[in-house]
Amino acid sequence: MKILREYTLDFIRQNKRTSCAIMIALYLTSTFLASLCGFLETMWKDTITLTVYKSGDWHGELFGETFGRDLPLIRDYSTVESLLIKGEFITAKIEDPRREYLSFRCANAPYWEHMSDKNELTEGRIPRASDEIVISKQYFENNPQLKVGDRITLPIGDRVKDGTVLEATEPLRSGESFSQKGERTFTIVGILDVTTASTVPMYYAMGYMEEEEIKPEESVTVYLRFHSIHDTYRDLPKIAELIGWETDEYGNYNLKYNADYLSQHFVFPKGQLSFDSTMQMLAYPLMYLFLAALVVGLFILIIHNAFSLSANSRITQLGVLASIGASPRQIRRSVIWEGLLLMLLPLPAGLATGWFLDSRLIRYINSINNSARQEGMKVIFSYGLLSILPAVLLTFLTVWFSAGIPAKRIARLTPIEAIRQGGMGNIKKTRSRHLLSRFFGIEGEMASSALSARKRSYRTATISLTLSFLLLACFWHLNALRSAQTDAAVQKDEASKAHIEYYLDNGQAPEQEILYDLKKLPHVKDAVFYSSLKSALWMTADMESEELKRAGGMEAVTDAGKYYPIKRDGQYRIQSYIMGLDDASFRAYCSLLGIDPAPYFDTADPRAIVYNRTADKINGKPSHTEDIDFLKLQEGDTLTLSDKILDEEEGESTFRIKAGHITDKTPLPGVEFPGYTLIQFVPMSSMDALAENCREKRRLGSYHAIGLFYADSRKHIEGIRKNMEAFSDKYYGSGDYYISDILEEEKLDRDANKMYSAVIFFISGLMAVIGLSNVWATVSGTLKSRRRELSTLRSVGLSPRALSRILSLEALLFGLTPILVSLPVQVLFVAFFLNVSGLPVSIYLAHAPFLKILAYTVLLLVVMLGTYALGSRKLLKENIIDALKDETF
Amino acid sequence: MEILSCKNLTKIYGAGPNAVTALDHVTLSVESGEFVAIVGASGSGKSTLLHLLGGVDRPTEGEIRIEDTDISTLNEEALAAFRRRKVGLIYQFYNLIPTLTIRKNILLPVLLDGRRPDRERFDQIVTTLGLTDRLEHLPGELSGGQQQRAAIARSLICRPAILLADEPTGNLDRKNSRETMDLLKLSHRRFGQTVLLITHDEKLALEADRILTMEDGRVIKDQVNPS
Repeated sequence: MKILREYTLDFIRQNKRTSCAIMIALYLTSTFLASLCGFLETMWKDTITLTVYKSGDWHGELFGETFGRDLPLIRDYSTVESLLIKGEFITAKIEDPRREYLSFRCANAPYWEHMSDKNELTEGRIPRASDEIVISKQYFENNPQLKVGDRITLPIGDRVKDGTVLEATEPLRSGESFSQKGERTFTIVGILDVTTASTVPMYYAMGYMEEEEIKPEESVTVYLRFHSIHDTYRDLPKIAELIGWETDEYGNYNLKYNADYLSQHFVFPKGQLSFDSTMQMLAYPLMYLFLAALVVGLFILIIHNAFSLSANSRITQLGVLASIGASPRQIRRSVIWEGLLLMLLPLPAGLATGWFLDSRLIRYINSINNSARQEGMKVIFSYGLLSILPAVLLTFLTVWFSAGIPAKRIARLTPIEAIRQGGMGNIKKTRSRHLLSRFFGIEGEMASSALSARKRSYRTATISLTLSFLLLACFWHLNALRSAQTDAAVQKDEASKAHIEYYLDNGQAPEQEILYDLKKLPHVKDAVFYSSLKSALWMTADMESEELKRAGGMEAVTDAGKYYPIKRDGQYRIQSYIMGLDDASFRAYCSLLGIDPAPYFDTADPRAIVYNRTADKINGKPSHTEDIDFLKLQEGDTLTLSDKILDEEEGESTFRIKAGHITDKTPLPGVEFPGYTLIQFVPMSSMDALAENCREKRRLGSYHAIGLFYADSRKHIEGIRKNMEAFSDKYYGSGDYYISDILEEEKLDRDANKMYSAVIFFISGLMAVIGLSNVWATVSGTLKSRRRELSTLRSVGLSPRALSRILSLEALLFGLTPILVSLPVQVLFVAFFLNVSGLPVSIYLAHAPFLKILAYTVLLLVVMLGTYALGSRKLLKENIIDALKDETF
Repeated sequence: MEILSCKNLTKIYGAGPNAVTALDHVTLSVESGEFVAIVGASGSGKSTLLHLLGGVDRPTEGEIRIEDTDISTLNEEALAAFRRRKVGLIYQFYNLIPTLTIRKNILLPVLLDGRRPDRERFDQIVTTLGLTDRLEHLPGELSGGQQQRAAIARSLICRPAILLADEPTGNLDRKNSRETMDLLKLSHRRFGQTVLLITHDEKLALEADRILTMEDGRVIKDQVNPS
């Protein structure tokens, strides 16, 4: 209908103020939506980039034994895209005083393409031919004469002891020898930032292979990529079955999944996740979706408000058009066209502004020195179709619904109703306002009557103002809750969290003297070392404690299918950790418990202090679980433990240990243990004797020590760490030990907080602007729609000052309503989150955003008053009769 | 030939104790080509009757037939088409679209119908109404009399069967009032249109063929004007 389009365009041109208000609202909508979509796209892609950088973009792994002969079957599986294959270790003998071998694995081209190993290169490139190799930086530290580009010729063979071929990753065996089988020449093409413990006498390296080189009997490690990532969870077990694997005692194949990568592509295992873990995984995406939905809803209201004002302003004209024959459809179209026409400029402007704001935000995020990210790994700003299309679609939908609502309403009116309404608006009779008239006289009564009589017209504006205020306030509350929780966690951990953690693993039993010297470093107030030996315990239901029975017993634990314990032949297999404390710490522990430590050092009669507690995970919430008594044990009871903790392990050794003392106190309060695991404490020096009962793999696994250090003052943490490093370098090689401290963690937290705060500030700022612009649009629009009414009042003698007073009162009433309405909702919101999180109110109150909310409230009222003041000034300048006659808006 | 009839036409505003019966079971019929004046005090239901006959309002009860079509049962789309083609409405306050030129205002019913304007008819009407040199002006640039003439032109452009005029001279001075009445009578004579005119002016009412007097929502007198 050309005439109606022309009329709509003319109307827009003639009513610049309303049109501007709508265009501003549309501009803000598209800016916010574009920013949100752009930010989401960037962070989503960045998360994937980080995951791919750290772990690669493989989909699944056949973690069990796979051989060369299985490869054709796997490759030919219809949904498999590529096989990422790593071969067996190949051992080469080298002339090196520190380590005797260079052990390397060769990988095929897809492996190098998709796995993260290539990101470990500090120099050079990945190997692309069978005679190319990349080697650990440790090799070059100890052989400085070598460099990238050099060619080396190495004897290839096996490590042998007593006629048995040793694994390349086994520790050095006395009496072992090297059985050469051949020789290979390599070109060093790169250096890997990889370290290995000196316990294994080899430097790590990687090479290249073609798939055709793999022999049928050769053991390989196979990762897979599928044509469609969604097939991963379904097809990997099928492939395992196809190549003849059997399931383990849990009914599963020995498979691994690149779960982070898969979940980032919205691929989740079916039916294997609990509601809690699913919610945890989806928490952030759901939160963003919820926020986007709320924001879109808010914008629909704001723009609907603006369109309502515009439609109401020309309701008379629309009534006239209807009276001379414009159909309801034509009327509706005119209002919607107005929306679409008004969208033409703001939408691209909003998209561009969204791009600009996001780019600045990402630049700021990158400027924060976040050491959790690899150097050079900045967040890459993404702003493609994924950002633009949703923003365009959502803006379009917002306009469609916003314009459609008043359009439908007007089209439903009879023409004469529409013509009449344009004069007076939808006025309803109101009750008398005694309270306001008492304090403010007739002016107070007129102010509140004006709002109340137009309740319906103002409803949308009030709702949108309330919603935007509420959204912003709740955002700030969430942020405050987060900081309060972080603070509470820090406070809680302050007593128990170690300042420095020291991790030692050189393949040998830790030497007590070295540990003692570390503990005695200057400014170390307290320290404890511990190691652990894993074992399994078969128990029956009558060994359950009363508390465990009441909680459902081991039957409930095994039925849940989420924890280590399994049921077999009427017994339950649980894990038991034998925790070896350094001798001094063990004695201190015994002193705390009031028991004699001496018997525990008697290796002929091994005994342990049993920490007989476990977290009741079956009945607890993820955020909080109660501890209960675990087993029905008495002092003197003997437990038979096995070193075979999984069925897949070959062989088994058992040993017996007595329960010397039963306690509910742990010497390691900051250390968490897996649920339904029996923890037993022994001196570290006795641990060796116990470990001797186990097979080599389990025994070697216990040869480590973790040290928890507490400084006498935080300012000494850095100094202690430096001393630790200097001391450790005397006895251990690089890769044998690792140190971390809370200062590092706190810096990471601070950086994360800075980033989070930047995002919050950005979103808050935008929402604050939206709220304020909404105030301006609503107020100026409604004032304009009442020109005739206010001019009539002036014509019967209302003074300019009185008019200003009436409008100021209106402004206060109008502005305070959303704020007061939102207060109880905010209280409920905060109460809900405090209840769920278990955070004390007092801690929250210290972080509560009272000042921010107060400041914004004041700003909102100031803008409200200011807009009313400006509007009234314009009205007062006008000629009364011109205002009464003029129908333009 | 009967062109318009209504039976038991009723319009009630509001409900319960606050209900107002603007029109109370009115039954009447109008012959084609008649010039009918409707008179009565304020609040007697004259405008309500006219609005219902013009299809710009819905009756609470009763039937309205225009050229044998019961318009009270038409849906909104059909009713809009009826208003475009069958009826010309003239209001006291002109009700022109302020953002469209006089030309467009006059042509609105035709353009809304999606038809090409009849050039000859347009020129004839515009010339008759003396608006030739005002066509590109906006309504706000015209005097009251000129605006009313534009409104009349708009009501005539589709050659409607019936012209309904609600106090068309109420906002005009004597000279313009006279001109407006003359135009309506001209339209009635020349184009054979049926005209229903609401007026407070007894003299104007006497110029009609028939006078309906209304009081309290009812037609209390229906007299043919002997002159």
